[in-house]
This record gives sequence, C-alpha cells and structure tokens, in this order.
Amino acid sequence: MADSERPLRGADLAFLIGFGLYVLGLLVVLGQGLLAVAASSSADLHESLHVQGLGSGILDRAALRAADASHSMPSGLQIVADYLFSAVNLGLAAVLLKLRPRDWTARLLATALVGAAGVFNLTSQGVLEQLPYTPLETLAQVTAHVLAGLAYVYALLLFPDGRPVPRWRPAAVIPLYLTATFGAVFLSIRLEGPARPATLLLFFGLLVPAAGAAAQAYRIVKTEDATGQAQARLLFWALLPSVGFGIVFLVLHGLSPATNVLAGRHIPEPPVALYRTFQPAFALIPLALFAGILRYRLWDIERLLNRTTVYAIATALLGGLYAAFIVVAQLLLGTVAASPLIDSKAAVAITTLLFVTAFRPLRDQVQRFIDRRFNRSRYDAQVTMERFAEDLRDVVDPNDIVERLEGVLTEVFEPRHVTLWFREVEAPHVRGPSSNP
Amino acid sequence: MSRGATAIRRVLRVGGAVLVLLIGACTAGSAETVTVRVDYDHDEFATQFIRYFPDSIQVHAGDTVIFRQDWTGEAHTVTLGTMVDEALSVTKPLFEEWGEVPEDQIPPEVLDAYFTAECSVPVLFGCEEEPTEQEPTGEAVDSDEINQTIAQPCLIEQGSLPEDGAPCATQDLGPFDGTEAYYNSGFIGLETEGENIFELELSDSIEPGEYNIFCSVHGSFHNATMQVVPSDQPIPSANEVNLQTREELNEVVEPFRQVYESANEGQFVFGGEAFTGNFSGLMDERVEGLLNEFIPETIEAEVGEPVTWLMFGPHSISFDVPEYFPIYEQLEDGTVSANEEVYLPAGGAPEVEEADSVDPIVVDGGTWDGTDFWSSGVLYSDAYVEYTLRFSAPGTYRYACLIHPPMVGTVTVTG
Repeated sequence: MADSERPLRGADLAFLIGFGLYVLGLLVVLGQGLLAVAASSSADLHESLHVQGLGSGILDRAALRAADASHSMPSGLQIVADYLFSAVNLGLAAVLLKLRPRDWTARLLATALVGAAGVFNLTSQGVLEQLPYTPLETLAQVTAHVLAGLAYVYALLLFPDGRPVPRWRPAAVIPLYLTATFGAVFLSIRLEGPARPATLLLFFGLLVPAAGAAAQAYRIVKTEDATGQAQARLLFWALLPSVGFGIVFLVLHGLSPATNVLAGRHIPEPPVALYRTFQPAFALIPLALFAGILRYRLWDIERLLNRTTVYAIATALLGGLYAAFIVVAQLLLGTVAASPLIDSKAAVAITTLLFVTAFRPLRDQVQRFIDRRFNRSRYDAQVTMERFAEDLRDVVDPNDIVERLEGVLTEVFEPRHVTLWFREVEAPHVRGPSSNP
Repeated sequence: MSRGATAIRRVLRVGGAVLVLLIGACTAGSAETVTVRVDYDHDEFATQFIRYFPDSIQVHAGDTVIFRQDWTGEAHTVTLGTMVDEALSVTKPLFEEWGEVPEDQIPPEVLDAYFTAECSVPVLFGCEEEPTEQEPTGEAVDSDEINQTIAQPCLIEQGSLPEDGAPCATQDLGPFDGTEAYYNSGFIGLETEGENIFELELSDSIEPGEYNIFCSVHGSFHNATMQVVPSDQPIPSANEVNLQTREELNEVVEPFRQVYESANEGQFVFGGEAFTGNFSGLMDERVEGLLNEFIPETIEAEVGEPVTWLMFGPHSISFDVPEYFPIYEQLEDGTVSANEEVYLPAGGAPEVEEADSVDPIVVDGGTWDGTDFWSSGVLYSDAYVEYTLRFSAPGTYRYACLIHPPMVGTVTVTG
C-alpha cells in the first residue's frame, strides 16, 4: 500500500493539528505585517487600529502592534522581498506535504520552511517586536522558534532518505542528536528583548546551515550512489553561502548585533543589515531543495506539477469563458443592472451549474492535451497499455505474458526495478528483479 | 476518496469549529469590562502623561474596570474611597478654577484650602504646603520616605489610615462597594516588560452614583470620575470608551507633537523663552506630562569638544548603562523601595548641590573616557538644566536616561 494511502494514525493526526496551529500562528504574524503596511498608507486604518488596540484581547494587541509599527515600515522593495521569501517557503512547504503527507522528512522540512517564512520576514518581525511579549506570547514565540530551529536542523540532517547522519551506531548518534537538541532549545529560550531578532537570525542563519552543510558533506563523502551524492552536493552548495555570510559577519561585527547595549529597555531596532544579508542566502535553501526534488524526480513531483498545470489551465479556460459570457450577455442584453437575465438568481444558478458540470470533461481534455504535448511518455504509455490488453487475448504462454508485462510496466511506469510475484498452490514463483537503466 | 483525505477533512472541520469557539470566547463579554489607560507612551515619540484616559467612565454594578498602564518610568496608583471623594470635592473645583494661574498669583487662602484637602489623604508628591527644599543629587527620593500606605495595596473599610505611612493591615482589596474609606491599588506594577494592570472589580451591591479616582503618587489633579449607573440604563460600549480614550489622547498629544517637530528643527520654546541645541526631554505648559526623547537622536562631536544638553523634566544622561531597572522595586516582604542608583552620579560625574531646583541649573560634567558606567545622576529644575560633557576617545556611544526606559540616544565621537 502506498504511504499516502495508509489510514491516519494518532501521530499523523497530532502532526496535522500541530502543523495547522503552527501555520495559523504564522499567518497571524505575517498578517500583522501586512496590516502595518496598510496602516502606513492609510491614516484612517491607523487610527482604527489604535482604537482597537486600546482593548484587552489578543486581537487588540495585534492591532496595536500593527498601528505602532506602521511608523517605521521598511521600503516597498524590502517588504516585497520579505513576503516573496515567505511565499516561496510556504509554497514549498505546501508542495512537500502534498507530495509526501506521511513522510516525516517531508514534514520536518515543511515545518522548517514555515518557521523560516516567519523568522526571515523582517516586516512582520518588526511588528511583533513593537510590544513587549506577555508570558503567553513568549511561550508561543519560544515554542515556534524551537520547533522551527529543530525541524530545520533535523530535516537537513535527514534529507533526502530519512536516514540520520553520521551513520554511527544508535548508541552514538542518539547522544549527539540529544545534545544538539538541548543546545537549540537552550538558545531559543535564551532569546529575549530587542536582541532577539539578531540572535535568532544568527541561530537560523549560521548554526542551522552549518549543521546542514556538515551533514550533506558527510553524505557526499559516504554515499556511493551517484544520485545521492548529486543531491547532497546541491544542498551543500546552497547552504554554504549562509555559513560563509555568518562567519564573515561574525568576524567583522562580532556578536554586536545580537548584544543589546541598552538591555531591559523595549526599543525595537530591527537588525536590517543582518536580515538583508542572510535572507537572500537563506532563500537558496528552499530553492535548492525544490530544484533537487524536481531534478531527481524525488517524491513523484511530476504528478503534482502535472495536476497543478492541468487544474490551472482548466480553471483559467472556464473562468475566461465565464467572463466572456458575461461580457457577451451585457452587450446583448444591456448593462448588468438592467439585465433580467443577470439579475435573475435562477439564471445565475443555472449558469454556474453549467460551468461546474463542464469542469470535469474540460479537465480531462486538458489532461490529454498536456500529456500528448508535454508528457509524451505518459500518452504513449496509455497507448501501450491499451495495446498490451489487446495482445493478451492472443498469448497463452505464461512466460511470454510475464516478459510482455515486464516490458509494459517498464515502459509505462519507468520503475527502478520490477518484481513480479505469482501466487501458486505448491510454491511461489518469483521472477526478477530486472534492472531498468 | 481515501480514508486519509476524509480524516484530514474531519480534522479541519473540527479545528475550524474550535477556532470559531475560541474567537468567540476571546471577544465575548467585553461589554462588562471597561479599560482605562493610566499614563500613555505614544507610538511616534516617547511620552508620559499624568492622566487617566478616559477621565470619566460609566459602569454598572458588577462590572470590571481594567486600569492598564504603559511603563514610562513613572509609578501610578488607582485610589478610591469616601476619603478620596471628600478630598476631591474640594480640590477638583479649586483646580479647575485656579489650575492655569501661576502659583504665586493664587490667593493664600485658596492654596491653604487646596492643600488641606489634598493632604487629608496620603500623596507621594504634591502634598506640599511648603516649597520643596533644594536637595543634592541622589537624595531626590529617599527609600525611607516612600509612603507604604500609598505604594502597597490598602483597604480601610472604616476608620483612619495607618500612621507614618505604614503599610495597611488589609491588602486584599476585594470588590469595591463604594462604602470603603480608603481603597488603594498601590503602585500599579513596576514592570518593564509585559502588562501593568490593576483590575477594579465593582461589587454587585455598589450604589449608583459618582465615585472619584485619583493617583496617590501625583495628587488630586491626576483624577478620574466613575459613574455607576442603574443596570437598566445603557452605558457606552467598550468600543465607544476606546474612541473616547483615543480622542482624549489625541488632544494631549498634539501639543507634544508640535514641540517635538519644532525641537527636531532645532528650536524649543518653553516658559516664553526660546532654546536651541541638544535637548534631553521636553515639556509643554498645556500638558501634564513629559516628552521623553533625546533630540537630536544622534549627536556628532569631536574628541574633547563640549557637548551640551538642555534638560527639561527629571532625567539623567548616562552612558554604558546597566540593564534597565525601574526607579522603585518591591522587596520580598512587600516593602516598596526606591532604587537610589538611578538618582546618584556615577563614573566620576560631579555631584550637584542643587539637583532639584526652581531655577536653571548649569553643570559641567567633565570628561568621559568611553569606558564603564557613567551617569550625571537625576537632575531637575522647574526651568531647565544645562549639562555639558566631553569625550576623550572616539567611538559610537549609546546613552540613556535611567528613569525613562524608551529615552535613548547616540553620540558619535570622531578623532
């Protein structure tokens, strides 16, 4: 049974709930940033947020943070960079979970990417730092940072095969990982005050990539499989700029960005230079992961891309058709307001039903078109399967059937190897495996 | 559809329902809670206000009034009771009539009536029948002088206050029913992080009527009115109260905005006199409060060149400061004590004979070598303080006022 089809277990449910809350928290954080951006260009919104911010609830504090931060927004380009970075990380997290919903390496990576989407977004971090944290907010922050940090470290250590490095005996690996875990938790808990963003960034931007680069370097040396080496090499080079920037930054500036000379005073002073140095470097990691998954066909990414393309085209076609229909209806029947057709709820319902009904056939047509034009092997596979079904009518020799079946499966599914199991009464007969270059 | 997908959808549905319930729980019941700001730190420039916002509220019996304080460096209390009502019935009308008139032009009998009523309840500052004696730096507030009746929570159902500022026997306040003689929050938190809150619970049995609230630190001019109305009469919603608060805030912030912008352009007018230069705090006659900013935020100087600040309000100029600590601290036994380190000169800065004066004070602070903690000590004049300092080493130096946490600046010294 495929991993994605096995029933949900308790751990899966726990992950889903936890991950959902985690993403929700992140969206609140990113939303606050956007709210502050909007308030910086709208005096009315700014005033409304201040009024809301006089209340006592969690949402009131969010409103006050956004209103306060609106006076010190980064430039438009920086805001775009922040949210582009967050979107790329969130998008890749979604892709990973879609591809491998039950795979713990993919889950770790998705958790890490969601965390990075928040940590490296200076606009929203600047908003968060506007007010001192309540104990509950501190707990939420520390938990999120610990989760994100650990997830990133572990994901980079386990990617792509889920096997931990170094390949020592468990008795040696477990203490090593436990030490790293306690170190990360300790560092995350220690983060407080205005120095938090800088320290956080050094933790994420230097320590995490350093651990990841070391793990991938180990894989390059120890893995004999050429593909595995290539994947590790790709990720290693993507991690290296972050490590390099981190070391250069520390040499040039020491820990000054992470050391608050005015400790105990709540003075939001985001370390802009540090962010702008590390953010682009850190953006390479999800991009390299994505490139690696795409390049080495990890985790059946073609299926996802194919479906996304098909659905996007089908939706666009129908949407365009619907818009064209409205325009034509307007031209024929006058303005929308004056048109009895458009005003009629029944007409709207029937039209919508028509377009909904048309979606599936249209999607199938687009799927066939895409396969024929861009995914020739799949199209050919369909033809091959149909031909094989016809051939079976004339073949009676079992060995011949097996050979033909192997050939068809190899052609259609392009597997690494094929193993056929036959159930026999006296003894099972095993055929294969046969390599597929 | 796979079982996995069904389960995921189920989880999402349950999660959504829980979220809706949570949001409902977070926002429900706000009509029974009124929030009053005590002091306020503005978002564009650091401020402190000797005000409650709004200064009048309407509530029902059984409601809760949340007094939320921004920690600007200044302590406040929420004090009520029949003793307060009696005192403010005299001082409030007098303050409204004479508050804008210079003290030396107010008839003595008016001052006498005012201070007699004011001093019938304990007040930390302001209950001064005689002018304050000028005191040297570091002695502006003595730990022994902190009235513990004020600084700690205190409930006197009936009878008289403890003598000599001793702490009250009853510090568990309970719901306020309007019949208490003295009901005092004590200093509302002394926190630099998180929330400084005092929750005033109103008893279900409190009679409709008007109740006075005042701050025992600053005196009866720092007051608010709480109107308890019968439960069948409507009161403003939480949002309406917030709108009123914001309106009052905007009103008092506007004069500060004007002086802030003017000072950033290099000029500040105070007491009819125009000043230019580097400013350490600003004030305005129209506002009971302080603008706690160093202006300009960054000063550039050369080694040995004198740098002069004009100080308005009680501030210190302090370099290489320790981690912020509030001017008061609560000891383990509950006693509230002043942190004298805030007030004292440090690192070789000279002691000033008259650190709290009505006349201008001019101080030459000497030279700082750029290393170790250095502080002018807290200096205050009703007029201004002119403080000069030189730097013997190039560098970028962050500095701060030891009283007001958001008040920070930078001096860049070049060789």
